[in-house]
Amino acid sequence: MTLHQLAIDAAARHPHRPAVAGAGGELSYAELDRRANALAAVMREAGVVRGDRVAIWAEKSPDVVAAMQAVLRLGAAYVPLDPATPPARAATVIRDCDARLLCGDGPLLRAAGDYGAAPGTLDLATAAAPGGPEPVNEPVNEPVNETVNETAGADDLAFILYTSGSTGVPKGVSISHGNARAFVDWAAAELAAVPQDRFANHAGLSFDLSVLDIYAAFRAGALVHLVPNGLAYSPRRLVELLHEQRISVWYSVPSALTLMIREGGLLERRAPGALRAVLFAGEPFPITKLRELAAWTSARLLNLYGPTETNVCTFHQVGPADLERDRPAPIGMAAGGDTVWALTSEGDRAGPGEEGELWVEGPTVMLGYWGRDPQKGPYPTGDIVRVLPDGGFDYLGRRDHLVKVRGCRVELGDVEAALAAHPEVDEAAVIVVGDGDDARLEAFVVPVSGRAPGLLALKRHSAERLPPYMIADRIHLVAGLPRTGNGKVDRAALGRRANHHPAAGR
Amino acid sequence: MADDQIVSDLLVFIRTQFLDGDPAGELTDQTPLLAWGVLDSFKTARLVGFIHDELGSQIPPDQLNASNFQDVRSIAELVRSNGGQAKAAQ
Repeated sequence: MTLHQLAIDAAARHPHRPAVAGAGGELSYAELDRRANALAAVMREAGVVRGDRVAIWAEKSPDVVAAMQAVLRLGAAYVPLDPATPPARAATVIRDCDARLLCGDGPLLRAAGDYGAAPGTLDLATAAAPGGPEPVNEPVNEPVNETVNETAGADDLAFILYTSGSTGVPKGVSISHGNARAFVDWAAAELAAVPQDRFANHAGLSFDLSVLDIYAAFRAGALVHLVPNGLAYSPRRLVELLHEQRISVWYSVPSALTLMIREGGLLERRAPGALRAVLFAGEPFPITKLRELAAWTSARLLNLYGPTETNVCTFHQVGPADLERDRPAPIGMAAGGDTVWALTSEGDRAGPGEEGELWVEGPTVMLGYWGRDPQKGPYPTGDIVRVLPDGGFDYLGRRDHLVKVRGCRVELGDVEAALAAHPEVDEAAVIVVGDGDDARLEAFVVPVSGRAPGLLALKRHSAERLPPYMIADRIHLVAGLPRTGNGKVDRAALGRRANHHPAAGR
Repeated sequence: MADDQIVSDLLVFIRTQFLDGDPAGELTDQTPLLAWGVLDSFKTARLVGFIHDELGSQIPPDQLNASNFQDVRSIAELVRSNGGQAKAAQ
């Protein structure tokens, strides 16, 4: 079964139920279906054929979701880009995936052209309705297009999500229809999603969390409400949205929820009666804040775990015993039909109480990175876990320098390499200071003798090579980097220095 | 004049909150904030909070887009068109 069949089936079963809402209005399933077919016809006209990639670079809107469905209906794959992605980076991704078409908002389309990524372009504001823009909340009298519904095999590419990769070399996680369906079908069943549900989509469309929001909703014939990209970290507006939109299933990084608790007054109002499940993933949820959340709502609290490469591969429903511990809730047991296990540093399978790296095998594991060898066999996550007595897992940390900042993967080596590639920089080391919604990247930069590169110049340089969440927040110019006995950069010493020498600002 | 004051309030906020005080004095009202990695979604939200709390302007969600936030000049225009005022003018 293909990923795009979900919205097609929902349109047949529940044509008049709301499918997707957000900035720009709301589409029923029948409207979404018509719009997806209309956009597919326009894309086909623009030369998109089965097996192509279509990049989508736009602010979230119902039309963008329709465009994603249109791409899939043609047997092609979509490549979503965050609207805040610097154009140079976006152009790199568009070239890397060899997109046939770039689809999105006018200003972004022009910016991509300025940076030399020039496939055909499709402006969503004018494309959906031939003859000009049409607000999505108007009654739909569009010409009836034929239903476009190319079949796709389980191993055919559905979308590519670009994540942290080596400097200048984007890393596209290729997800097949089979991968996505294994995850979505599991999630919809675990949540017992029904047409009356109202999912909030907090994450950007280029992040894997959004796959659950959109497609679990479609599978159930439910609504997905798109939180505008610009509101994702506006705590008061998020709390208002949760109440006003009568959200029943919320899914976000823990940072968004802790920010809503701390600065949005989330817990000061009664928990909305509609809210029945709160899902979080991407980083550990601080246990003190999780206790507050559990005391506030009777909704199910689900901790989901999995790198983008595996979708969600384990999950755990938070219970009273978890709240009594002084560490984050477990990441739990296998999900989505996967098999997961931990290998000790000796290469043995870890038993209860033992630690090891988590490995994943099963239907949700990606096809591979775009343009590289296919993923064969089990996937090593790079995450260190401890096996619990019940066979589940506690997350302990990373085996490398990959860190999470508000749920986004940041490979510190890539941030350092981007800085070190600046002509006025000799050497650079980057650490994370603070945690949760207060985490930030601090760089220690050794300039070339006699130079003092500016913060803005270094950010600009980095922005041409890295996604926005991997750009250093603060830069300390230093004469040299502290070293440990074996010559490695002493990150602990840098951490102490960052705390002792707070630069201006916060 | 009021517009210039809004520009200056925005520059001060961005310098102190996101650029460590901008010691090299690089930020101008035409610095491309998104393209150069000064703003991301988290920082944009903090900026929107500042615009609401200090400049008295509530930006509608459909105007929270990349083209309105490309530089300080365009943000100032957005603030003004949504009824915002410079701190000194309040």
